[in-house]
Amino acid sequence: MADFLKNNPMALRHCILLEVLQGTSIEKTYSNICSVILKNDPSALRRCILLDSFQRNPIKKYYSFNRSMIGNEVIDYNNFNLSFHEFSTRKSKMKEGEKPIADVLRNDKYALRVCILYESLKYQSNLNGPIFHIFVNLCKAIGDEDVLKFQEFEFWFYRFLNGEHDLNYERDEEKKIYELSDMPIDVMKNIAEYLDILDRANLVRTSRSLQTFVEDQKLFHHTLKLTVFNLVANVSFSRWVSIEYTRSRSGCVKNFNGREKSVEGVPFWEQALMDLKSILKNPKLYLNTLKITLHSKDEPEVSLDDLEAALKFNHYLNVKNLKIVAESSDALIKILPSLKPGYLTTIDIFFTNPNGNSMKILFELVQWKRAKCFFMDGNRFIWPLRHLYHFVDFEVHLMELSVKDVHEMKEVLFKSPNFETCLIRVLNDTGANAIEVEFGDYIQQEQNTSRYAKIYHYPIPNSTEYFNIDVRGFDFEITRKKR
Amino acid sequence: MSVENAPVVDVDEAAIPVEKKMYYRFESNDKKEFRVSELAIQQSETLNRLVEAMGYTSEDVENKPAIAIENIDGKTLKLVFQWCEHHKGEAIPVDDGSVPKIVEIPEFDAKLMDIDNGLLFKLIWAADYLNIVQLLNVSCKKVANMAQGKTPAQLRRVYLLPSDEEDEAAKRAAQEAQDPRAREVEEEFEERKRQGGNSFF
Repeated sequence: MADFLKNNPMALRHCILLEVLQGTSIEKTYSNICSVILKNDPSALRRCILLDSFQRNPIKKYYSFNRSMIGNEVIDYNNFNLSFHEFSTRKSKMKEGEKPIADVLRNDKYALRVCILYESLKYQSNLNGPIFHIFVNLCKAIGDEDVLKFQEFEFWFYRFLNGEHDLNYERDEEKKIYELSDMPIDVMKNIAEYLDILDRANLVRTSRSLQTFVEDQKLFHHTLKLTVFNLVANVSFSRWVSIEYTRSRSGCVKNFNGREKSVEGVPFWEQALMDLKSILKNPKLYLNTLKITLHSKDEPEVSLDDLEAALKFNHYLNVKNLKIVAESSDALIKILPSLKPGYLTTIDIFFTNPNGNSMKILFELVQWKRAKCFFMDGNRFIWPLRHLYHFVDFEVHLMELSVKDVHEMKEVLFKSPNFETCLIRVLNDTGANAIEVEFGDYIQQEQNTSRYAKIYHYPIPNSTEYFNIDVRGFDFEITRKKR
Repeated sequence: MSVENAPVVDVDEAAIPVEKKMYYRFESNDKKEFRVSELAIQQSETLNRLVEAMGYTSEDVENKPAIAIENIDGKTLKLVFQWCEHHKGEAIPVDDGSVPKIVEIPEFDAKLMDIDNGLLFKLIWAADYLNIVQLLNVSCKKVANMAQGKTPAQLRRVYLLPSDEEDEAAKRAAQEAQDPRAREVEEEFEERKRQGGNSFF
């Protein structure tokens, strides 16, 4: 079919015009046209390679060929050059009363088809990106979105790709074309499931009926983060997509995808909380991880009551893993009650200044009691260890560990059917000593290490399992194992 | 179309032991005939149940008429059976809706689905009707991928989505079509307005 371009000067001129309208350079246009024709004309390609080998040119890409050499093999370079400059001049210097040059393509359905054919040949030669982009660029070039419908473009594009090159073919307009809205509801659900939070947000804005439908579908999202610094806040959906809120004199500036918007009279963190609330209001949202980081060094700028209000709805939030980095554990107590008990699996916290009273309230919460994993860093866990004994896995730092604590661990924690593993880091050697008192003989002391390393085994009665207690320096790790 | 020149879907014959080599014949609504292996049919719950219920022997397959699939055309059915043959013997995924679905589109499927939206939607419709779970998954994923990073206006163009106004107009038209009296009343009302009457009653 590339022959068609080669042998039909008018069609070739339409292709050159399209490239000019799309702002392509003369070199690139020439190489595109040559590539398209060569790729689709094996004998011309062979002749070029042969010629090229005579000249001992490295074959990198078709357009690296000597221009004058392939000029005669593919298209006449002089004619090409003339057409290109004629179109460039007419594009840049439109005379008064003259019609835009794009009209040549816009008003002639066959010229438009040639353009689609040319784009499909480029696509076949891997010179083009996704099909919708090709369509958008084509529409931009002809300067009118209404001339060409996507369905029309797609129909011709795939016809050409399939080798059906009849430009005079007429579509049966009466023929039923299947559309998205013809799909059974189960299929629509299946499609919606693959759409992420941002694409769904765009889809619900297309029409009310789709909004009703899409908002009724479960939405799984991996990570949603709220980060608040002293002067800036951030709501992030993934590593690449986030909204930034910066303090301004009269309120804040919101930046999403490079688009800035000023919001008057609203502090930056309050705007971030409002947007977070609008995302979380969907009761069908299932978050794998919700991470909230509050980095306010001095007086905490974010009001924790506002944070609590942003997370409070008539429904619980479906959050599997909660990560919090904050000054005080008071933040946790404002967040945890809003999360769905049982669905919340992991609580991962970093506090520099834990507050005893808020932790006491926390231990009574059903969300705490039904969670499975707990990791705490930044400061010591200063409360009775029994509050951790329902977890499957936990990691904490302690000031010290007494023999009484280890005994209780043996009596309560080791009898929990759920418990699998824990890592406890003690500030001094009290823990290691208490374990030696309580468990007696160790099994193995690692050689060639200056660190104190001992392993104890504690068999679980009436089972083939045991607990492996690995003491390294002041830290120890307990793991359930099978014999 | 006769059996001899029916389009037969490519099959890797060496992969099937001789004694189990059983084929079925299907016919699309535009009378195109396909021969499909038993193992490939298992990907479609609907067809699998159908052939089990029929209990055909190899002779029956040749002697009796091809099984008609009345609401799918040949072009679509060809894609469906090509997919089934390529993925025959693979486990059929089970989805309980509790976890996010992770579906990758293999290269073969991507090439098969390099088709226009009209045909893609027909393929989805067929996969749903024939209950081919994984084909439905990959084709729906492809449709979802098209939405990625598009603005609402672009989504309307890609998916041919009507705007709210068009939706309303279509609804009104459908209602009027159902109830001719409503249109008459409307016309009468317009007529009276033209004649200068302020009130309909």
